[in-house]
Amino acid sequence: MGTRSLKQLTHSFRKNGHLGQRLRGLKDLAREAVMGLTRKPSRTTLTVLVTLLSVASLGASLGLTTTERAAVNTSYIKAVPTFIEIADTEPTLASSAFPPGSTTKVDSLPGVKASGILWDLQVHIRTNVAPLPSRVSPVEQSALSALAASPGLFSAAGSVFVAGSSFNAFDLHHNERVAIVGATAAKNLGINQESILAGQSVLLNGLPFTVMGVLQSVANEPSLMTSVIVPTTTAIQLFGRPKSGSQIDVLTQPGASALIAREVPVALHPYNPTRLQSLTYTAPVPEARQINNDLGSLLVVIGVVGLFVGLISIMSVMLITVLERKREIGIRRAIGASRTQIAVQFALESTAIGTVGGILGTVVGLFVVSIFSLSHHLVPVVDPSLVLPDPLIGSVIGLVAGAYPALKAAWFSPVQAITG
Amino acid sequence: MTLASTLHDPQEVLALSDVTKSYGPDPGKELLHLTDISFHRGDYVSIMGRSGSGKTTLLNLIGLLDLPTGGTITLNGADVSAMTDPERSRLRRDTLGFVFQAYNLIEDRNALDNVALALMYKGVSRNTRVAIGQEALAKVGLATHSHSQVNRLSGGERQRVAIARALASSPSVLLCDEPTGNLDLASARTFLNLLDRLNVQSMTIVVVTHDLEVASRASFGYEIIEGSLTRRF
Repeated sequence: MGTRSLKQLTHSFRKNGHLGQRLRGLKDLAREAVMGLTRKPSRTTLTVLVTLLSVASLGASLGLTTTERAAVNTSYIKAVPTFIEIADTEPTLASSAFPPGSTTKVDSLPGVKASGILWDLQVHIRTNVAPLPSRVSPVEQSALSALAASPGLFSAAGSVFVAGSSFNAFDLHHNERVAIVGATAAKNLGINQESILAGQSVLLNGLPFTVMGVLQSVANEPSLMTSVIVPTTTAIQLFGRPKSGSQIDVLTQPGASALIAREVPVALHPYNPTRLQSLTYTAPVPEARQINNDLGSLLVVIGVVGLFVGLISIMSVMLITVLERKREIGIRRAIGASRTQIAVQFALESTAIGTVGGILGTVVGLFVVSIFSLSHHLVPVVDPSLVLPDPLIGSVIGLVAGAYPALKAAWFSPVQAITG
Repeated sequence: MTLASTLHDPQEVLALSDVTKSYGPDPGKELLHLTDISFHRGDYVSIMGRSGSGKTTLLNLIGLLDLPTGGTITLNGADVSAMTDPERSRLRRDTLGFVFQAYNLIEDRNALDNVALALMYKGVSRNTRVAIGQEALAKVGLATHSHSQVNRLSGGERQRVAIARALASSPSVLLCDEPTGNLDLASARTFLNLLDRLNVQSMTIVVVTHDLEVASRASFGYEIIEGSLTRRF
């Protein structure tokens, strides 16, 4: 057993040693590649510039596609999704899905117009003019609910007030016992404009809340219409934290909802984004989708053509470089470089050009999208999943473009190469 | 252990058996046709011949830079014709050192980089490469020029850098192709004295030259006449 373990250990050391030597070899070849690139700085700079432009054209195309889609969707604003519900998928967990400051974080995301938190209070509802009007049936009574909400929720839900107004910062910070009542709930509870002015209260678990407003209608979150809504801070103080989960409602700029729906879970729970589930409402009308697809395809084709131009440019420059350095390749082969070592060195050179061009191209692409959007009064919409891989695309272009020149360099006969 | 390696003379470094080399479309037109010849450890051999006689071609074959059309070349008992390219590359960097008439240095790199380059391909660490490179440059009297760009050195200095590069790998065979062709008389003599010292340390040296003085320094002299090697001394 001991001998076997020792053998395994020895084998492991040998294996690692071999790997270490290979890594060192790769590092040495990378250093040679960098020295090769710095040999003709103007040529290297120009090649990087071409790669930069090709990656920038792709990045700008994708960015402009996303931005233009949002702009086109504005024409179909009623049918474009602008409302998202972010729900807690694990309400039984001890930690809150939406800790304090969550709505501030959501509001700070580009493309968000308003957001608010909401949860069910599960309390008994009465009015101080008890009993409830006789016309309210038991079924209608049970349909009434009490909710806790932050002020932003009313904006996110597209609320219109028939009387009074929404909560303000004072109500929130002083845990004021105030309530807003949906139109249906108000009707069932016998609340009207005069009774509000008279200081009518609603009793939640026997605790009085002054009615400060009545909702006439909501564009989103219809449950508000049948509810008595109190400030979140007051609700926590009097009834404790949410017992059956909570949700955040988000109103977005037209076209930004899909992106926001992906961003919010990551922004609030970067280590466990799957805890939150985003539900986006409504979908683009077919005409808008068709226009989007056509526009997107056109710009992507332009971007891909740009990439192809970049690829051909790197390949041409690398081929010229290989031919110019033929004698050097022969010298390296004569003193012991293998074909693989030669190929890897030149492939690393082209990959380095592609990577640097890719990184700079991504930055330039984002800049172009921003400038274009600002000059056309559009909201720049940039999807990270489309932008972040761009530097990698540069590296891949460099590698692919350098493959043929690298193989050509490796396959030179040492004698022919050294004699030029 | 194979029969071949059992029979191999441990002092024999290089052996050519019925080696031919042809160029162009006509395979029957041979530039070289060499019958059995072998070089041993510590041999100092000169090969002379007229321009175009095939001296450099022979050196390229011995140096594994080119493959023969026919026959067998054996280096340290191993048949190089049957080897793959990586095996030939490894043998080249472990066993052979080259000194060319045109120096064949990487011009825009410094002397130390050039000397250390061969060691890099052997997998030697950077610090060790620098130490060995500086030692090799010191041996050829260029310790103070280690960081000088090669294209700023004189012809004699460049040739010494080339020797330092060859020596850094501790080769068992040093192959020199017209090594004094671009040197003035004083530099040539310094170079030949250095070869003498290396030969005393049992290094096998093969020099291709058309210079009688260079050839006369060797222990054995050959001449290529019509593609065949003829012993002269």
